[in-house]
Amino acid sequence: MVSFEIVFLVAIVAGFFGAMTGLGGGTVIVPVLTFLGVDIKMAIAASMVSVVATSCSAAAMYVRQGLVNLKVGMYLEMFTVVGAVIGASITLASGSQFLFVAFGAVLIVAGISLIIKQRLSLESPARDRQDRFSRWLGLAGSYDDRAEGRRIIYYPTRAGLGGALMLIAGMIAGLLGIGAGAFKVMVQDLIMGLPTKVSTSTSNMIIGVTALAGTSVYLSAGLVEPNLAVPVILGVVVGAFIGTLLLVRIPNETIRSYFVVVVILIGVVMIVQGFP
Amino acid sequence: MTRRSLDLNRVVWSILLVGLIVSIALITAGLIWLLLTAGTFEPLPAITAINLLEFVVYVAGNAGTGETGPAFLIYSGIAVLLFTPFARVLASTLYFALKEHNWKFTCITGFVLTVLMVILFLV
Repeated sequence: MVSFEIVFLVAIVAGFFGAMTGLGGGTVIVPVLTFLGVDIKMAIAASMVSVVATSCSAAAMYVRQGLVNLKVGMYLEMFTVVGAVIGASITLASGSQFLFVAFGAVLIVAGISLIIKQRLSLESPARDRQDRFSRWLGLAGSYDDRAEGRRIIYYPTRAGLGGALMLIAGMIAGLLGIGAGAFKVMVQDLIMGLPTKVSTSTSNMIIGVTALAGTSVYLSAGLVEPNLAVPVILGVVVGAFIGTLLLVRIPNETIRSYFVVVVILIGVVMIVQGFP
Repeated sequence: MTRRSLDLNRVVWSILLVGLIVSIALITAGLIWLLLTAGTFEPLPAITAINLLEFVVYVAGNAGTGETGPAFLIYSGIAVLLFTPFARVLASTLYFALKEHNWKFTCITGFVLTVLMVILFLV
């Protein structure tokens, strides 16, 4: 077993990278722990617990700012919690090789999609028309945009399709012990037409409950090893805090892209490890 | 945003913030206690295959007993952390049912709450 101190330091770096890239600490901590010789299932379980902590921290901040659409979040949680239980159950039944390849593939896809989104500014415009189901749910919301100095009113749509895709996002989260925030934001942005600030904030709230569902499966399977989980929780929270502080001082998207490239490279290494 | 949704925002924010602070404080205090008494962070007793309710009962059963003191604090912190999102869903369900009388969202949050209760307490 790797020492407490090393896991703690690695978790700080992972939390920092996770905040800088917007992908979350789990995307880095799991691969790095496996590189240090930790069993991938135990790494996934430890990461899943830490995701609960980082989600609580980020969601509390965004809720206070009034950016989270609580109704959209709670509606989508119906799908992500079920997905997380299915995903975590698949992990328990899977071999390590499959998990390495799946993790690597998800990192590469998430990293590339982030770069594309940064470069092309892929963001669907706020819609002023809703489908019947979304209107029935009453998902419309608003927030104060300080940069634009006005109140933005938005009308989420395609809630049915969004929910179905969130089931898959929840599965990925439960399967790999990550928040899968990049996928959740993409579904809310591109499918449901939420403003990016709202989808990013709401995603953080959804991630906590999703991670809790996944954690419960791993706890029941005896995979939550406290000597691993405790330093990971503390380290990722500290690292994410430092990353968030630095993020507001580093406006240059190019610098963030370098971090994303590192994550993609980690994904490639994970896939290679899956084919010994 | 209406006054009602602002109220729910405040409830959710309070639960998440208090839960996170208490859990991190408990874990940190436990680690410091462990370092002062044992001179090292390791090893903590293993958590065997149990659900969250059994975990809480296990933690409470070992409350403040000699050697398990630091571990009790650390495990209490983990339990508080895991209960925080659950408490948020529970509070939201009660809010939609009792304050807003919004039955659609009472059912939606109630469904999430039911799934969580099954996997946290029964499986």
